[in-house]
Amino acid sequence: MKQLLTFLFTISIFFLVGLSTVDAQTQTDTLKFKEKYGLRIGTDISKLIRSFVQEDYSGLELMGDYRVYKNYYAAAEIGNEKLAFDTNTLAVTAKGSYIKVGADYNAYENWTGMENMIIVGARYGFSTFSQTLEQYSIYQDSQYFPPNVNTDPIESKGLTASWLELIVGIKVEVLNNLYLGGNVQLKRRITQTTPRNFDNLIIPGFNRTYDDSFFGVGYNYGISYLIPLYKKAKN
Amino acid sequence: MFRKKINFKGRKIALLAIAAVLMTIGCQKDDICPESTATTPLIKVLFFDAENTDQNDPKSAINLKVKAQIIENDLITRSTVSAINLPLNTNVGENTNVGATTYEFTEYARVSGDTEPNTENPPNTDVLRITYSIAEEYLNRACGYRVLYNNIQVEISEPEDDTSGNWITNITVQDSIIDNETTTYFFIYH
Repeated sequence: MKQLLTFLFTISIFFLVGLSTVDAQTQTDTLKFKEKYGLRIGTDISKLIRSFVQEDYSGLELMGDYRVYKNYYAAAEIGNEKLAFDTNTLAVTAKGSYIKVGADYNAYENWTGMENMIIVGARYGFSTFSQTLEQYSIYQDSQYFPPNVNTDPIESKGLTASWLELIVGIKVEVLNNLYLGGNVQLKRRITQTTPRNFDNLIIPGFNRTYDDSFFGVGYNYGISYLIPLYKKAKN
Repeated sequence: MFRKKINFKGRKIALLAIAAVLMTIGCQKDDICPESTATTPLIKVLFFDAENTDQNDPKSAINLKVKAQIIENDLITRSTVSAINLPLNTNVGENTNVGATTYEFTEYARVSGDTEPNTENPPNTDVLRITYSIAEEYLNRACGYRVLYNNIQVEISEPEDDTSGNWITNITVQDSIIDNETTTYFFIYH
């Protein structure tokens, strides 16, 4: 019984790990394994899930990368988001589109036949959006008079922001040409236009901002498919 | 092969841990508004003797009661003070930035529930109508907005069916723009 279980376990491991490996082993029985080059396109699943789960969020991000040379990839993301942010004194929503372009470097030394990635990447991001101050109250130390709460939405259109982004992440080939991956992003804002007498509290693509700080963070959990265009031997 | 796989998983866990930390930072609730922040200012009021206008020698108002006409509670309930801080009502009408707050200043206010008339120093109420225009100013995400006052003006009058005369002889507005709490804005002479 124990032997059978061990056997099944081993088989299943091979089955899970090696769908692409098996493919590679059967077709190239040479010392030099040929690696796939091509265009990989995908979407951020976390944004889809958040769109369903979170009432005040909707977002979609498409991502693509193209293997240019050895471990270097040109990469880009485009997306559209509607975000909300509130504090004790105010509530805002923002909606808009963004594009991020840059490059990824695969820092992972793959075992022959595998094409997984540990990604270190950089992006330039640009967002164009509108922000709506849904409600706010006047901050008063004295509570003598009734609170002054303004519930008429104030929309500011035509806002922009740009930032640089450092990305660390992974991509794992789970099925032939199908990748699951995740990354975390550290963002540093470069420029922004702010509404009159207000600030950008959230920026599509950048996420929430911090007062007195240029930095922001983000994450991505994506699924992507590689369209192989050609193969090249690994040196 | 197996070892390599585990190694890869190890790095994955490390990366996920970093992700978790970053997400925690990303989701944390914003700080509450620090007390040192200059928010909507109160109006500093100083009381002086009408005969002795030396600004270094304020004169207390005796058993002063201060109450806004639209509010049921007292702002100041019967205390002898030479300086008070007045809040203004920031709720102005729609499509206007002009506001008004009317206060009743009562000297020699009665102890609440005391019905026996004080013949020597009967309570005397003066009505101060303060008019101003407001300007909202964004501070930060924790504090939100504050209000600053411009073009501030004061009028003294007597409440209806009061024949005792004004105990306040004069009010001077020192600065018609109120944007901090360090300046004394009103001098009341009595």
